[in-house]
Amino acid sequence: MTLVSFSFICFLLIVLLLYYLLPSKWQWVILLFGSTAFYMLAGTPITFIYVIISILSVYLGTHFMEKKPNSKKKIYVFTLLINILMLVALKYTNFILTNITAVGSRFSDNIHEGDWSVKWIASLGISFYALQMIGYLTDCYWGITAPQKNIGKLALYNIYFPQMVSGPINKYSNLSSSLFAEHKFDANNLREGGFRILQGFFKKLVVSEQLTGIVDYLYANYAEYNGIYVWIGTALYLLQLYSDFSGCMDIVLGASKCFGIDLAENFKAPFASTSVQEFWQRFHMSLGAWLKDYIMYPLMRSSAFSKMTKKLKNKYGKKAAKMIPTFAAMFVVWFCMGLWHGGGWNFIGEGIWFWLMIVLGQLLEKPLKSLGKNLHINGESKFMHSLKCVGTSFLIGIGILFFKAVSLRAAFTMIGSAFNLSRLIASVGTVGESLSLLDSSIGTNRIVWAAISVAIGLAVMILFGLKDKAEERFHVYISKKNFWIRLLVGYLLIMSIIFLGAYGPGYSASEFIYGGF
Amino acid sequence: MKNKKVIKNLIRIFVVIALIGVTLWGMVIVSYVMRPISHSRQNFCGFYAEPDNSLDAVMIGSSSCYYAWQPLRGFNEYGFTSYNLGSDALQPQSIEYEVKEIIKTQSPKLLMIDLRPFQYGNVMSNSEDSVNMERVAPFRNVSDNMKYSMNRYEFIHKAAPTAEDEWTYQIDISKYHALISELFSAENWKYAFNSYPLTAKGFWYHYESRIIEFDPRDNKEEYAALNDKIKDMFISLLDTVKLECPDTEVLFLVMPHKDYGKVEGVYNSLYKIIDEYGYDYLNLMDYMDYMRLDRLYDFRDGDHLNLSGATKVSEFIGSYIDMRYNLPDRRNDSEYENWNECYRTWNEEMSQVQIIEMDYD
Repeated sequence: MTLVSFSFICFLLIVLLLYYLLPSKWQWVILLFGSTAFYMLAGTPITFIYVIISILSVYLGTHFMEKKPNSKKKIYVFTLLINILMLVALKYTNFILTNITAVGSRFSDNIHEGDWSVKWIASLGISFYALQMIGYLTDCYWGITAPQKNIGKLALYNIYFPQMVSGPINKYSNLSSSLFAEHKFDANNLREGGFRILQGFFKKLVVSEQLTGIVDYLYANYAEYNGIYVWIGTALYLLQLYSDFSGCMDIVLGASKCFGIDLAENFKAPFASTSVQEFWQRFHMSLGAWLKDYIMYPLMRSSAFSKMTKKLKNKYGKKAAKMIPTFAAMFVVWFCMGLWHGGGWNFIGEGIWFWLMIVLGQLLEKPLKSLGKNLHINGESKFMHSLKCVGTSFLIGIGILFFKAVSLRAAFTMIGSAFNLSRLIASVGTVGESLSLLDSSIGTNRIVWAAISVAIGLAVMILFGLKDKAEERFHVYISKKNFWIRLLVGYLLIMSIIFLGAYGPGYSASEFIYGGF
Repeated sequence: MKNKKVIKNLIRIFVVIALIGVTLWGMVIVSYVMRPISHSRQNFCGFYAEPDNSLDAVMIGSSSCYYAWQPLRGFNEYGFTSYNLGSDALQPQSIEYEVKEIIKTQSPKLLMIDLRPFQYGNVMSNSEDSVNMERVAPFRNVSDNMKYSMNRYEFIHKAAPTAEDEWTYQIDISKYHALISELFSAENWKYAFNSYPLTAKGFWYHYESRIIEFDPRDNKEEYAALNDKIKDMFISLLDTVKLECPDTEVLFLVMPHKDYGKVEGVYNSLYKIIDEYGYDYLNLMDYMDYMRLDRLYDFRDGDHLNLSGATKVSEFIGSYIDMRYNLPDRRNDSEYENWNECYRTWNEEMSQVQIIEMDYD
């Protein structure tokens, strides 16, 4: 069972029915049972053992930290290590082994790159729940949050089924009150949640899935499809990634809203950003916030960084003392961000690219402003604002090219061909021929249908985006309208999904890109 | 005030129900329009377009049957009405449900059933590469062309290949919704209600001729083991026919095909079961010389006859049915005047067909 399936909708309806029909004091228990059942249906049941280990270790860790304040730090580090090691072992062992064999192969003929590997199955949503548990543990250590005495409630926080597979990563202090509270039936919650789920299905099936075949084909055959195709593929992938992940979040947040539980937002019109830094404040917001709270700020406050700041201040002055440690901490954050996306150098490359762009953005901000002033360019005009948005998307596109490319080498090859003028010109001439080849590769005559779907989908998504940028999101705005408008919008969304969505035989819309982390 | 609110809510509920109804109806039509036109599709639509209880005989078979039996020749020469409910690469599991589909609107006095699907099912189920019964396309040739009904639901639920999810067969718009371009084809809209008359009553022809080398029939008396699945399926079909249409005669047919000699044992085992049930079978391989079927001229390939071969086979089957089964003569029945019309149109078309000899080099 996956989030974008008929069985998930049925499952959600059953849990909702029990949730509102049974006494409200049992609501959190129903969610816990529902979440466990979801894990068994959607994941590999045996891997639930990792989830149990994580919950038990954190529960006992926080319990002992409270009981034995003198050993608090030791207990914290020990519990933290259990969870980090589990995450690293399940997610990065093969990456580590590949690199060891790659280095080993240079010194010994008996070792070949990729010789060693393991077939461990990571538990469902490990990248998300591990971060939540580490965050909770750290908050308890810092004394920000009081430890949860009820292990069942802690387990629910860890595996709450709408958010377990793809996030968002919620802070315990933000979620707990709503998650464990008793909720009365509210038709408005169902309306808002329902519209949001529809919105998610629309983004996923009408836009993201329609693009999957084309994007995958272009990236897999990058040697053949170079020059202009790198730009086309990357622009389409940017759209696919956003529609896929934000669609997934709409389903997650919509499902949770039906229970009356508000989860943290993960997107806020990211393509309206005028800098890479701003983009990451609007895209996958919960991960960015987690990395800041639990990696960047602790690093900045660490004694090593304090010493570095002092030394830099004495040697290079105040400005350098402020900037260099910040950039160094940001480097660690972006390295982790890349690594979080997967065990591969291309993911790390992606992280470093974004770090570089943010650092350059900050360094060049003032000089560019004064250059604009000298040239009498109004940096605040609508045109310049749009230009900045396009420029930001361009830089983001290059970053995600690393993310999608089959390897780091492939990413550099693609970027090389994208900026090679002669290849660009040569590839433009073959667009017609390549389109028909692509059409037969993804399914005859499907490219026209995909193009129509994506064009309509994009227009609707811009409409969603315009509302998302405002304070009131699209699903909230629509659910407040009168019955007839709600009926019309709901009907149009369902019909669009049925006729324009990529699903059924020949399609596999079961996975979300971010569900793989 | 309260009454006003109740009325308002009732109107809303009525509108939603009406909208759902109209949408479902519209989606059924659109899904019919979106699927590509094929011989299988046209044969099913043609069958549904026949007036209720107007057919004296119905043939269920694969392409080897609909390229062989000419219902209009049977009508013109012997006066009985018949129809070829044929679909490409028919699978054995489909036949039982086709019988159930037929008797919903027709009360045929004779059912002609192709035996070849059971031969293919038996042989190919044992092969390593492709298992005929698990192929999706031949299954969809039947399931996607049947009208939505409980019979169709059961057919899919019990017999669909596992390569695709059951719901994708049941709600087949999931398969065809990508073919938006079909909506702009006027030809497709003719089949919007899954019913459109077919002049030739399910017969299609080939005009090519090729030389066919038949496998020798060395093991004429041998009985080959039927695999359990095929045997159960065949017995289930016979039981269904006995139970659902006790007054209907059944004739199992084997059309001429080149590899018969290799699989004769399978057919012998099937004949034995047919005998036990007291039904008839007609192995046309035994009458090749009698029909003057020419392996140098009357075949399109090893599995299919061309128009010349089909005419010879139809003349033989027609006279066989006329002699053996007491089917009515409708030629002068005013209610069947359109059959005479169809024959004239069809015969004119057939008379202009020229057989082209291929690969004689």
